Amino acid sequence: MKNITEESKHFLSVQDMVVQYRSEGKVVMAVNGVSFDLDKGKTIGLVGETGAGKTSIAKAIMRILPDHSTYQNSGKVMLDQEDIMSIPEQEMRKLRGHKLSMIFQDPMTALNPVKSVAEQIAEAVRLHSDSNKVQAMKRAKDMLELVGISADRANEYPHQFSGGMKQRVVIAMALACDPMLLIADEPTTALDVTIQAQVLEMINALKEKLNTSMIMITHDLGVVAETCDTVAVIYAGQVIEYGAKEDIFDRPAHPYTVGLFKALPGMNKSSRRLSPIVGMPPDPTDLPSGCSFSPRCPYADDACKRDAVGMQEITPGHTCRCLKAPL
Amino acid sequence: MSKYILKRILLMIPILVGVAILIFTLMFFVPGDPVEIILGSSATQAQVETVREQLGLNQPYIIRLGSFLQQLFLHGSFGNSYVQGTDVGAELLTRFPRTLILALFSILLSMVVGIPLGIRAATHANSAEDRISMFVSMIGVSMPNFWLALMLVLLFALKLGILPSSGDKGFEYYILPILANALGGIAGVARLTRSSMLEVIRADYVSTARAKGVSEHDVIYKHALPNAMIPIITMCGGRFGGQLGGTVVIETVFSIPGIGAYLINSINNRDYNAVQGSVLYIAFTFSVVMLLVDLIYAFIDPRIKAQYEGHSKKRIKRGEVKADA
Repeated sequence: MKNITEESKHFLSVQDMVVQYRSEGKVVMAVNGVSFDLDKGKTIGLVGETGAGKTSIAKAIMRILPDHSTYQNSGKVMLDQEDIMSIPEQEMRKLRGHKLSMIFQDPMTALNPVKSVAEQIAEAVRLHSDSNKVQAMKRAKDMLELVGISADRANEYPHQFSGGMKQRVVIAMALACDPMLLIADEPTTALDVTIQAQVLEMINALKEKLNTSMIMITHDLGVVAETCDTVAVIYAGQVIEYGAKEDIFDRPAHPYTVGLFKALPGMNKSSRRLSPIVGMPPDPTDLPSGCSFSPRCPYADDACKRDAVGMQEITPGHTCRCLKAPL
Repeated sequence: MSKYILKRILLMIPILVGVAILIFTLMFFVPGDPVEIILGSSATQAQVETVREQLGLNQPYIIRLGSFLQQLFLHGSFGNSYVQGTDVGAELLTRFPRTLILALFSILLSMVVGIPLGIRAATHANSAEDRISMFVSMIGVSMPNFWLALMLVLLFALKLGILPSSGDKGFEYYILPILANALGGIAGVARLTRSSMLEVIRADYVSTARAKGVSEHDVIYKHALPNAMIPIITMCGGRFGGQLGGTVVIETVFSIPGIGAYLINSINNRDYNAVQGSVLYIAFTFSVVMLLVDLIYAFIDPRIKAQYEGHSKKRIKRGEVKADA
């Protein structure tokens, strides 16, 4: 019983999510038992290297993993007291784009080149409300204005917009139906630094206005600092450190998180050289036994390589998957 | 856009003039004498000379070319056939509807059946269903159409007796020819649709559409398919244009007096006017079909439309703004 009451406190609760792909006869273990919670109006950052499984987590929550290559996908996703992993596809379709929506990584390819931008936004509106074509177009134009694109350009096609503007269109599309949960998958990675700040600011402002919860997927710690309340550090498909932003930034406990911060160039650091994390992320088709970071970890010993390492609490709300933590 | 269409239509004129000169010259150098074929081998030298004189065949090349071009472009006439003595243009016009029915319905059938088949194979890629349908379509692509035509005649006309085997006295006479002509097309379109769909089906915008809550059917038909259509249109346009010039084998097997059969007969008889007329007709219909194909591209893909419209529109717009200010 305790478990149920605990679940119901959170707006979104992801539990033991597993995603595996099949590729050339091998099983790719992309996500290996990820759990995290998110409250209404808050933002969680999923931080990790390319290939750590961040986008797979997002697509699994949306239930849009590619059919042809997905080998296994299990776990529980409670959204607003409803397990959206077990509802039928038709029910899920009504939630997608309505209750939860997603901003994709690459604005250059996320928009359909043969449909006008307003048409693409209006499509989502029409699917999730009983508005007619004219009302949906009106809403689409309002959304474009909201993200700073003149409604005059509503009937133009994606190729007529710049990268930053395309990303605004994608954001307008994701927010058109006032979603309760927004998954932003590296929304600024493909953009110029100057545009990045604008887009982040806009996402934050819109989120505040609509009281949306957000999952911010990024490998950029600066973006995390600007937007997130809590942070989950992802490594080889697992959450290896989880806690409030302040905990992670001020008191990182996992050697990987510590390494991430050390690898950041800083203005106030006296050392001239960056200290990178040695080695490469593990091959997801052949994960090491024990702690998956152990081959690259300067503190690892035999115990780390023997058994899978569980999450342990460092301070209340700050957990870490490391035998040596806190360092 | 209308400017682009006008430009393309005007461009057809030099193409047709070029084709006219080329085909005339080729026929001039092709060995064989129409007069001997008309009169037969028993004709005397004097008779041959008289007919040559009448047809104007003893004039030098440049004079004959001149009068051909003059007759073609000033009077809009291909001249009379040497063999039948009838007007070539009129003959082509009576034959055109038959060839059109054959070509149009074949291509429509290929698309209506081939595209959904290809989509199905692509959305079930690497399943048993996909492999079987691709294997069958491989056979379909490689099967010669005359053989297929004969098999269809054997089955439907001789064994079952439900369809006529040859002639053109009504629409039922066209069913077997259309089938024989379209089956290869269906297989080809299905294979092309599959590969083209497989490319776009993994595109990000398809995920975007799914993430919006679009139903799987609409994701495939409204978001993915338009992006996969360009190569399919190219292929079908080419086939259609080619078949409007006559499907010689099918017309011969089913004894349909179409354009293809006419062209082949004319070539065998060295019927210069008829050959020249047919070739010009083919060049003209092919140009028109290609223009239509290019317009369909623009209709499907706004990026291609923007290319056609070029920069002229932008310049005009800016000019207007300045004028207003």
